[in-house]
Amino acid sequence: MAVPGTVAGLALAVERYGTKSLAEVMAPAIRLARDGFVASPTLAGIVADSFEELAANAPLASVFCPDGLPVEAGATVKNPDLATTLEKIARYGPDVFYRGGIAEAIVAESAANGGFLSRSDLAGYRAILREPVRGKYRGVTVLSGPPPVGGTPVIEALQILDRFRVRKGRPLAPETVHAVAESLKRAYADYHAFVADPGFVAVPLDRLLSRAYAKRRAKEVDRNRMTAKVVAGEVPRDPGPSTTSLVVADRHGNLVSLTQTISDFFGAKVMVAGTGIILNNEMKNFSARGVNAMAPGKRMRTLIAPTVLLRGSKPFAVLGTPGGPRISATTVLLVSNLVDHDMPVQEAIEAPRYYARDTEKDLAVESRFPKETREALASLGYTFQEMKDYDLFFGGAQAIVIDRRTGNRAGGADPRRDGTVSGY
Amino acid sequence: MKKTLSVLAATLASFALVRPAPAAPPPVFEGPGVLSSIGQSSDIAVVKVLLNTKLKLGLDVKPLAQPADLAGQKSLVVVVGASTKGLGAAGLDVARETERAKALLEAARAKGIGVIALHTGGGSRRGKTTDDLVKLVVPLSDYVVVVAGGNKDKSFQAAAGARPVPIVEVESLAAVGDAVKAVFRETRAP
Repeated sequence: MAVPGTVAGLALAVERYGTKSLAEVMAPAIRLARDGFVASPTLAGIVADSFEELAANAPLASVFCPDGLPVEAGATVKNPDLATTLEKIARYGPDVFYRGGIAEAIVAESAANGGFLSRSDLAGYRAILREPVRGKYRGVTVLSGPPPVGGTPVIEALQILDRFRVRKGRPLAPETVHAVAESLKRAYADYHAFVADPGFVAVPLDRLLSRAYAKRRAKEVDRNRMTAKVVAGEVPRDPGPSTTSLVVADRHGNLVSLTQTISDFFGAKVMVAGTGIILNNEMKNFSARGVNAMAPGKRMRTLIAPTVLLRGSKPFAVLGTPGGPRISATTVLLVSNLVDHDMPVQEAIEAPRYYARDTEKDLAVESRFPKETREALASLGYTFQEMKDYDLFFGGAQAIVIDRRTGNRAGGADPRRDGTVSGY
Repeated sequence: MKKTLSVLAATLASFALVRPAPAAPPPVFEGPGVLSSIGQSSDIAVVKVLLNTKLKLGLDVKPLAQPADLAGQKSLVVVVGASTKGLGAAGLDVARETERAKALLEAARAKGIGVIALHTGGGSRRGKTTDDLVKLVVPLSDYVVVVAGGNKDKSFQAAAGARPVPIVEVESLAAVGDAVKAVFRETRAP
């Protein structure tokens, strides 16, 4: 497992930008952990998917496999140990997690499962504030997560796509899908080759995100043929989809897009006894060699890409999604649906998804993807992997769009992963 | 009064005409048996706990069972549910899994081995590939148990077509075990 950063990151965000105290913002989570929440069909499905591994870890099994069977949709899931842990953090601050008894329990559990995490790793962890990466898509400013997270391929893909005409209202036209897929493949290839922890590697952001580079990459695209092999760096193992995304807009004009991950569903499949904390398995997101190779103190790259769109200087939308390597593709499609096709936010989220990548043979498509588009793309050399009609494979996007004239906010949430919208 | 009586008589007659035939007694299964997956979802792991750990049916667990694995067996229990991840891990695609399932089920029928089909994943375990497998499996089964959330559209009944396959809907995963236990005559210690 890698050093968990969520506690430090969220505490820093609350301290620097919050309008409420840490205890106030944590209260709802503590209540849900103690009193429970209703398991959705999606949660029940992913618990069943990981059943054998969850059942093998007693603390995890006590939460997710009561009576020795996976929790079912409609049942109440409680994690009282996590409630106690969160109460300690709310009361004493993040240091209690990184230096106190919780830290000792995490280190012990890691060691018991063959991990190498040390007390000094936890005690030395610091959240880092970084400037977002920035680009333009059809006049809209795109701000997204900087290295080592995944805003760079999102912006690069959008800027390549910007060189192609997209017919408004026809997001699944074959020529549009082809342009999106070819843009994504190039952005993914460059991500693999160049993006890593900027504290250790000089990431050439100026070049990757320049308009001139996007123009050159766009010129490589044959409009009548799929590119079978895009030049790529090394390929890391496929990160899993146990990521969560949420977006918030408040009355002061603040926008938050938060994406956090423990990598696979249920991370390392180990819960620290007595704390309710599930250990991550982020170390697999390092590469064996290349810019993302493991090093002491280095942070592994991930494709998470919380994103904000501006029209002029005014916020237009805030969005984010989980979904492992599909995050970049889903974010690009969502931006295109909002900007190119003027879709209402919920329609933009629900529109059929697809996913192309430099290392994937097939174009992954939801089963709703039109037959005529598949036939046209097949003639360009595409083959397909068909997924469910609304498949959580493609992530669970959340977004808020702000009306430029009225300031009204419209929230959208993804049915693929039980997303919801709330207003207060 | 006479008119009322004749209307009543006609109504009773129409009830008699549409009343379903008495249900056939449920089939009876016995061990030894094989537990296999059709679609390679992880639901077989849950069913293994239900039927072997809890009910102690002692089924041989062979997610990729072939016709040859039916030698000496009296029952075949299959768990239906497609998983792209599971198929990939097994080195299979949908076409090859469908071919394996068809061969396995047809061999069971040819040998007179009773087939129980289970769908335990509820609504989240439906989808085109699973639905296609359901259409293949149900007509070749002797007894079907489905968690109700996975059969809201009655697709299991539709898949059975004219064949009178008993289809039992249960509300929870735990009840799947009860529904199987009700028709399993012999158990074998694991």
